[in-house]
Amino acid sequence: MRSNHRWSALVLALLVGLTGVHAAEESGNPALDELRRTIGESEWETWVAAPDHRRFLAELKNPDGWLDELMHSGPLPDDPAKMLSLAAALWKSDASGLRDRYELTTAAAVALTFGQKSWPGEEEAMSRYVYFRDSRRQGLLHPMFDQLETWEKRFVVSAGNNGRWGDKGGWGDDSLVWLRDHVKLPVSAYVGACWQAPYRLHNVFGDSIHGRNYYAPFSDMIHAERVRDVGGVCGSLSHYGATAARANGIPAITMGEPGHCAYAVRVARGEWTPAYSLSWKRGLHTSLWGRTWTQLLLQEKVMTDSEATRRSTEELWEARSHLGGDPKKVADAYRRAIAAQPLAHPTWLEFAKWQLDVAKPSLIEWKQFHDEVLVAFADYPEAAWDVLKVFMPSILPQVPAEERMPFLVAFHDAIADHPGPVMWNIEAALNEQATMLGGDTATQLEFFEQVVAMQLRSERWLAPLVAWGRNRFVKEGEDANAFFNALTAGLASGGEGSESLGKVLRPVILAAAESGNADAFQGLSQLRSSAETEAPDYEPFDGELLSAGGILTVSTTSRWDRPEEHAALLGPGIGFFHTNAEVRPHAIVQLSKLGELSGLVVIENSWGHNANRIMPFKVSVSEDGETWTEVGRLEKHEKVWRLPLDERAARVAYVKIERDDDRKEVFHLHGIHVFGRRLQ
Amino acid sequence: MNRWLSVWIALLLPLLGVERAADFTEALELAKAGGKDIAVLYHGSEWCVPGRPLAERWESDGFEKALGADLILVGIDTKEHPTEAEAELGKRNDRCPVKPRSYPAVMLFDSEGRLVARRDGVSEIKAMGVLETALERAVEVRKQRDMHWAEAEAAEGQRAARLFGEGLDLMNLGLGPKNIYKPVLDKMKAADPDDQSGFAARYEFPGMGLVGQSTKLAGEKKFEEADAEISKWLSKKRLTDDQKQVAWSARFALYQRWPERKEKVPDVLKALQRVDPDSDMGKAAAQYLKMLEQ
Repeated sequence: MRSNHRWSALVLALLVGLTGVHAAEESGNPALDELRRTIGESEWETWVAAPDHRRFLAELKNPDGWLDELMHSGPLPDDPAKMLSLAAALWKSDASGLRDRYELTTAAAVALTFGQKSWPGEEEAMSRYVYFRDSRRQGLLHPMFDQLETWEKRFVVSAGNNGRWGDKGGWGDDSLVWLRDHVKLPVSAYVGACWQAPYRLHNVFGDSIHGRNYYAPFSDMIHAERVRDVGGVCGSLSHYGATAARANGIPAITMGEPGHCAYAVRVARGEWTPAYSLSWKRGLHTSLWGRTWTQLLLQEKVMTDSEATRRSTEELWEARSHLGGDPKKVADAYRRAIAAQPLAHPTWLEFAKWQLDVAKPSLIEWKQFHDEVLVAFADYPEAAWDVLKVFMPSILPQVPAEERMPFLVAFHDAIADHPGPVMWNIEAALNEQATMLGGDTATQLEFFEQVVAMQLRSERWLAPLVAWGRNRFVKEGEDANAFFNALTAGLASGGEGSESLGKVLRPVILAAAESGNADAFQGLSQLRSSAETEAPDYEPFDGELLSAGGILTVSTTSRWDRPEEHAALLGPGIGFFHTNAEVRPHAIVQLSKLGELSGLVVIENSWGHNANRIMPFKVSVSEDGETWTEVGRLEKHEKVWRLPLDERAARVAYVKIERDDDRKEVFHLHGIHVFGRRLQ
Repeated sequence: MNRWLSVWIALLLPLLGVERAADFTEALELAKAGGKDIAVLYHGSEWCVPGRPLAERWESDGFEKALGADLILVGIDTKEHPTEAEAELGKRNDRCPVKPRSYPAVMLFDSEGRLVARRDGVSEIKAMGVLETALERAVEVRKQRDMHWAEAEAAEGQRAARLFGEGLDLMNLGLGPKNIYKPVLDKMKAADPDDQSGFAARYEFPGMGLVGQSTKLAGEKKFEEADAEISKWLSKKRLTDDQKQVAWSARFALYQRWPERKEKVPDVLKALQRVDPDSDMGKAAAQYLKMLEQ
């Protein structure tokens, strides 16, 4: 027993000599110290006791090598000890190959990816590394791969199922090989690669995609190949497109959307293009931090500013090294970290949590911090709120009652002038704010009114705000007057209070449509008091009414326009839009579901001159809202015009109706009802 | 005399041998004027490394000389970051009606710009052997096709339909991209309205549509109607093996939903498997049988 202790002490002394890392002392290498801290002292000691690991530790400390790639490529995975073991194993298997930085960054990205607890171990990590190494050496990857840093390669080597590992039978290495050899395209074309696989709810045996037998009979085939041949729905198709890009060395991700799965391809540094995407409500399956599209854009901004981010990261480590010690040293280091990289979102979050748990600043200091967050993330309102909501629920009750509402409204004051990079779930933030505020309905309506007054100058946030208010305050069958009063009072602060509600809502509805926010567009349109007008009788086409629940945008509005009826116009009833006098006026319907169209019905109830002035018009369809294909034309007015579209509109998200001559004239319709089979 | 001969040779040469066109639009004009086929190589010099050796071969004088067929050659270099001039060229190449599923890709179009043959990706291109020979084979297919169709135009009834169908069969493209060969099917049907030849059925087979129709009718409890429709298709003498397998799978889908026929499901799978046990569908049927036994 005593002898064992002696041996342990000897081994430890040897290790200290070999590694230069003492269990209780700093090594002088901040990255290594941070890694050790993250792994934990006891696990670290166990780890370095293995001979292979000791050898790797010496390698790890070489400048511009492994340590640099692992520690400066975004946050570490949730099992850093596993990551380090994988790195050691990769190095052991290919030490000479890994002297090439191209391979080193690939290996580091693999270690960071497979260092997640939920990902498999050494054998699979090795296989993934070998795939990319050998494919690259054979010239089988897109040249873009050679330009990628480790953090960017994390979006390549992490190909799998919904951000998790995909084995054989799923999106594993055999599918990567197949896709590399069968789907080689210019980068931008991967955005459409999903459509190489047919959208089929049932396979050739009539089995549903939702059952277990859809792919099971085709067990002899590689998964990617069977998705192309057997088919699939949004999940399989999006994985096909994203994995094809990744198999060729191009960063891509899959992402969840409400009732849908989409993907995105990074077509150039800093430029992610959504693919098969039907909503801005995207939950990323792969991300360095956060799960929203805002965070993806933020990551690009932060990580490409590598020098600032490196300095910031090292200050963050410094802060962590003092945790449990002098709070001033911790706070100063956190402050230096966010000064070096003001967009380092995870650092802000960590700093906010530490202050809440440990430093416990005064209310005035919290207010200062709050204001600093709003300055730092002025262009990323979602990210700003993510930090604020760490401490606001705890802080707000300490704020004098009369100051709570202004505290919350200050957020809206800060973001109103900033459209942000993308739409975000501001409704969820408003719910959280209302909950924090508490109080009765009257208090909450007052809050709503004040936020409306603040957001009047926002082109983007007013529409979802009003839609949120409607959802929160107008209950089925209850009197909506209190809500309307708050809304009109809020809007009145912008000088429009004397108008009727329908009229003041009009610009808000148009803004909701313009920003592609279907929920807000539909919600606001339902505020109109009049009942839905029935459409004239007509024979519908096969499939669903894909236009209902979508968005209508018009080329211009006019004093005869009724934006509150735009949503109704998409069916099943009718509504009305009316443009200004212009050359080639048009209306575009963004369908509620991507679909294969069977036909559409255009309704125009006018007669005489009013009917004839809208003629002739043409109908075009598009998948992306940019490239249009003409599918029909009407020369002479018909009150109800049925246009069959069989096999001419296979994949459509947008329908455009445009007057097709050079007159400067108004354009108006009562109904655009689009039918077809949904493809999502 | 010699001078006149040289002039004639210079004038005739483009009509007889291999020409190069700057883009697909020009190729189509030349093809229409000279009755030649168009051979297209899609590659990406900037980004598609596996396509580079092929592009070099394609652009070489030796390639032109090695080709025995009358052809117009077009190399379409898809650029990711085109200059203004390259973008302009790209627009002229957009007239090519078929885009690759994978690069590099080789395609042959007839003088009317209709697809005759395609190979997408290195593995498919390698599998067809020497490129020059493969292109000549594809041109030969087009010639054989045209001979069939010329003969068909002069024939009547079943014989005409058979010749139209055999012409289509040679290309193995169905009715082609965007149903470009549908007019041939129309002629087939006009010559043989009752489809005595069976070729119209081959080119009108609904494929997955038959499966969809069977499950839809089964949902409406119209089992006999669905079964009769499947039997109708299975009785067609010219269905391909793939088509027969899809018809059997439609019956499988139907019987799975038809309580009185559910016990016959294994027999249907066996029938499907017998059509071609080594095909993907044949293997899938075998696998399904195992699944049913478990």
